[in-house]
Amino acid sequence: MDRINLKLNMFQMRLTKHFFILATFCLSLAACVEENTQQLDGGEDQQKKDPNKAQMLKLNNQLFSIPSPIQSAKLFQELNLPYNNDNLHSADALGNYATSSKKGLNLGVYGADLGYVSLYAQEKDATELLGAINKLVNDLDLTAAIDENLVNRFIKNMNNSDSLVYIVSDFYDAGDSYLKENDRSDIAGLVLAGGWIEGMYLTTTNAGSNEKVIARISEQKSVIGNLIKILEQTPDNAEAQGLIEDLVQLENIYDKIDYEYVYVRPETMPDKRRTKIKSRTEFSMSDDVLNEIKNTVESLRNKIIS
Amino acid sequence: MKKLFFFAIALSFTGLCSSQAPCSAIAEFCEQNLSANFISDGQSYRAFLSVEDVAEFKATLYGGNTYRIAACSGTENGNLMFNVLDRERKPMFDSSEHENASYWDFEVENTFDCIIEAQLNIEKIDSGCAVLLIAFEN
Repeated sequence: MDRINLKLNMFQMRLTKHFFILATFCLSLAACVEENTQQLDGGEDQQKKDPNKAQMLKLNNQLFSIPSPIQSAKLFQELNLPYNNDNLHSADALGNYATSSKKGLNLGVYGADLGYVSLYAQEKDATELLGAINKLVNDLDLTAAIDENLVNRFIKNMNNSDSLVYIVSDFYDAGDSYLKENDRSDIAGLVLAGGWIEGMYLTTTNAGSNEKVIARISEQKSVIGNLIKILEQTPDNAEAQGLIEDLVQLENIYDKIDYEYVYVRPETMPDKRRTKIKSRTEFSMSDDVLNEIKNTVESLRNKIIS
Repeated sequence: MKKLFFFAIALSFTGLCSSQAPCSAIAEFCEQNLSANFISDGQSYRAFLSVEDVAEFKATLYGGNTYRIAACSGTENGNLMFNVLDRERKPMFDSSEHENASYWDFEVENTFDCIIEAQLNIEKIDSGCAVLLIAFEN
């Protein structure tokens, strides 16, 4: 009898184990089916909505990056260049922008200014710019991405430039992701373009004779090429296409800059998960070309803020 | 033995599920690779890849800065491999030589135009959304 009971207990234990394994498998499968069903439900939608996917197919799997305008502002701060608000875009100009494209461009402009102002912790200017950005965010229906929490975080950290740059970066990040996910890549491209042009405008107007700032100006040739490629991905947007013509003109001026690339073997430190890039590009730009770039950037900037 | 077989099947299904996660979830997961001292460049680089696809990202990294590049697909690290090439397509870094590291830091001495190539780790995933993040150190 004991032997029978023992066998029965062992059988029950095996059954329990197998049941557990089977249950794990079924739960995994069920979760997978549910998730994939959601994917299928949203699959077509996602394919339509995810413009990156379409861009990848169109452009042979190429994507292009534009450096954050915050990095130029950071350079000014590192070089101890004085704060100068003379060249910031006025919040009073908001009423001039009627179309989504123009609003997108100027959201980029105000965003770049906000990055600059934030690094110098200029509360008054930041408040004005934030008001302008808030209005454009509402007009462009971006409140789902850039909500009150983000704005409140900014206001709470108004005196803390270290925190503000992160928040401004979050503004850009949230807006860019939201626009791309919602089939509005044209506006995402224009925000980027506005931000880069304003960053260039602030750089050229603050350069003076500072060699490092002038070097930063000379290093933009590839960035212009990338920006043109981004705007080319939205052929139906007239504003983007008009901007391409101006950027090509600027690119032609950059063609006058001589450069020499020198490859240097990089140094990788696996324990630090770090690689030192030592290659360098030496640019040689004349004062005439620098002035031509300054003037072209200024007229381009005037065109987009008017 | 049977137990192992069942577990293997269950785990493979779980793995398949994570590889099919939507782009936004992958981007959120990938952000965990950016530590607090890195500021995002504010852009979201996403591409839908299949087994043989290679996505190419063109970027300019400014001299005097340290950048972190994070690459993800699915919701586990190591699913997306990436390598960095210079403007002449000379190799500078290959994540497959470092256990498919999901992020790597680049200390850039002089401004550097680069190409970042990303492709799926086909041992772990055969299609899905690829997300690349670029951030600079504050």
